Amino acid sequence: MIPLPISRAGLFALRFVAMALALVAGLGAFVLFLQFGDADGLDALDVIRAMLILISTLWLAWGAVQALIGLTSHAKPPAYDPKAPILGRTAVLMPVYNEDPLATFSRVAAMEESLRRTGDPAVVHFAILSDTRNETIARRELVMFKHLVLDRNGLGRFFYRRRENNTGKKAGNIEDFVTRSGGAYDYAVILDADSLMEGETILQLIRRMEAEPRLGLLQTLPKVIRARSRFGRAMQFSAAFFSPVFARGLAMMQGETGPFWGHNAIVRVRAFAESCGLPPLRGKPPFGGHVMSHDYVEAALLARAGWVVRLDDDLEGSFEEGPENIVDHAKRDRRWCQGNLQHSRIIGAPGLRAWSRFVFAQGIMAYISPLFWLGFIIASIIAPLTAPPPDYFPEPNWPFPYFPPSEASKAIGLFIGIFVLLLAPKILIAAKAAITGRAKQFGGAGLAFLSSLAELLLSSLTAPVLLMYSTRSVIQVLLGRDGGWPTNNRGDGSLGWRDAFAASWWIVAIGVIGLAATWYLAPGLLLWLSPVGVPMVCAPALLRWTSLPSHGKLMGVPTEYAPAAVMQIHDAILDRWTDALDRGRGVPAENATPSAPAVPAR
Amino acid sequence: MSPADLVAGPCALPDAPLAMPQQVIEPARGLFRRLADAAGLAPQSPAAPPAGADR
Repeated sequence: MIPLPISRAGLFALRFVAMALALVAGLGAFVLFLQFGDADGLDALDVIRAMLILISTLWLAWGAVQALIGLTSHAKPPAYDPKAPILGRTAVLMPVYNEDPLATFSRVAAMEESLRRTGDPAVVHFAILSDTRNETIARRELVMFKHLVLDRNGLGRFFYRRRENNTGKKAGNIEDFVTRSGGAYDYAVILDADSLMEGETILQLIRRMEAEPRLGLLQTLPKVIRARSRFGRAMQFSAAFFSPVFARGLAMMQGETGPFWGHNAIVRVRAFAESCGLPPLRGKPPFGGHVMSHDYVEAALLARAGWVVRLDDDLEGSFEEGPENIVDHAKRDRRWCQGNLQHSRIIGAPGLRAWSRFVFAQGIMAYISPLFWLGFIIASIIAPLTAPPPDYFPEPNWPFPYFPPSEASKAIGLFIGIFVLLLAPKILIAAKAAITGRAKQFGGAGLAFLSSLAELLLSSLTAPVLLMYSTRSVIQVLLGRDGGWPTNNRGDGSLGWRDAFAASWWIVAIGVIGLAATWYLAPGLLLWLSPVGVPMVCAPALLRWTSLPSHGKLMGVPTEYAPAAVMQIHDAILDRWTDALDRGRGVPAENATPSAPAVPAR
Repeated sequence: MSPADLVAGPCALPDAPLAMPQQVIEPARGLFRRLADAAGLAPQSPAAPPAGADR
């Protein structure tokens, strides 16, 4: 049995201290705001605003504390033999749903080639689990699958099946595999259609499972790759530069109740089968029906059944791709929002570990916290309407006016405090990267710092727009409505003016109304609220500008300076296959053998 | 061999079923119902009639 990197008592102490620090920050903001509001007499709206700022600050502080823990610890591999012979059989599962088969199947080929180059004799099979509904894409999948089998000489190692009904979506797709073929494998590496993983990483995942028989699920920290747009590259930089530190903090606090993010992870098939059968929830969607964000639930169920669930953030060589523009990001977030809010039905399930319940609460909080900020802003705009008029002569018959002491310093202190919580983690991460030399992978300390500032600036500009999308998502989910997105964006992710405006006109309208109301009702707040209001008014321009292609070294990441081996393999295979298909030969058969079936020319 | 024959034959998933029993993932009563019960606000179901009451 592999011991925890931290003792059980230490784990509880760490969790307690982290929560206490976040609570102290939230209460500090609460008290400061009450003092500020008390200057002209405390009213009900002041108390409501203080409550809203308490919750919002608490949530911000929780993120900052997680980063602090991450900054003060190091990712270390567990104690195991990284060269031990592998005994179990593994299936690498790639669920697909209407994706481009050329892109997805070439990733499978790249991972298999990467595995082959390790020279390890471990039994690793690949299964493409199609839930594709589009018949044209489904036919292409069949053709590309045959290409894949021929190219990799993969008879007996590559499998494909398409479900007639995509009941339960991705969770149902995996469940279908387990119930049909799970008995043939000890482990399953679960991927997404855009996942890519080094062969060596897959082997180490398997060895870590074999070294710890209680381990039910092992999650890697995937890095975002191949981003091309300004928004995509900012997300990619953030995922490569900041996320490992936040993930480190999470890993320190996880204990044996770690996360599952739905892909780029390995599961013990028997544990998964025993523990993770998901029934539909009672009632209708959005809160009833099939579990949408199934990954968090599966992690909680494994932990409930006594299996260890772990994030090993020391493992490199795990990649995924991300959205290229704000609209695609918001569409994905809309699904996640519904999935996380649905967890409010599961949080009280019998027998769950306390930390699993806390993780569900965090997920819910991540989506409802923008509502608290929005509530605070709206309450602040209308506060002057309810405030009592200043009384300069509180003492009867006293001839001189009394000017109440200004508590503006409290508001400024609160403002600065919130900014510190927002900015300090990222600045500290950049500083530590410069000191430890990690910044060299990002073009050097100076460039990494500039990239951090650029990412901060961009994320500050886009935050109000994303806040509006999140707020709309929550409202839509509560009302049981669909997203209603414009569907078309270009292949490279760039958005035209028409699409940008169609996706954000309502944000512009709310921004204009909000700024006008502030100017009319509380002109003193106009300057303070302009960092929120101006990006909202400029939302179409922001959506379009951030979706345009980005080049240059700013926000460069290690995989841009030196692409990972599996990325290079993937590029070569994709080029070769594309070339073969363009020439009409149809067979990118590097390894075609006489025993392989003949492929007709296209 | 056509692609369809391939996925129906040698490249079909292995037949090795594994049971995946459905788990209990939500409490028998929702949070609001439990809060209402605790506060005594939930409507009480009518008491069962005594045996032979409708005779």
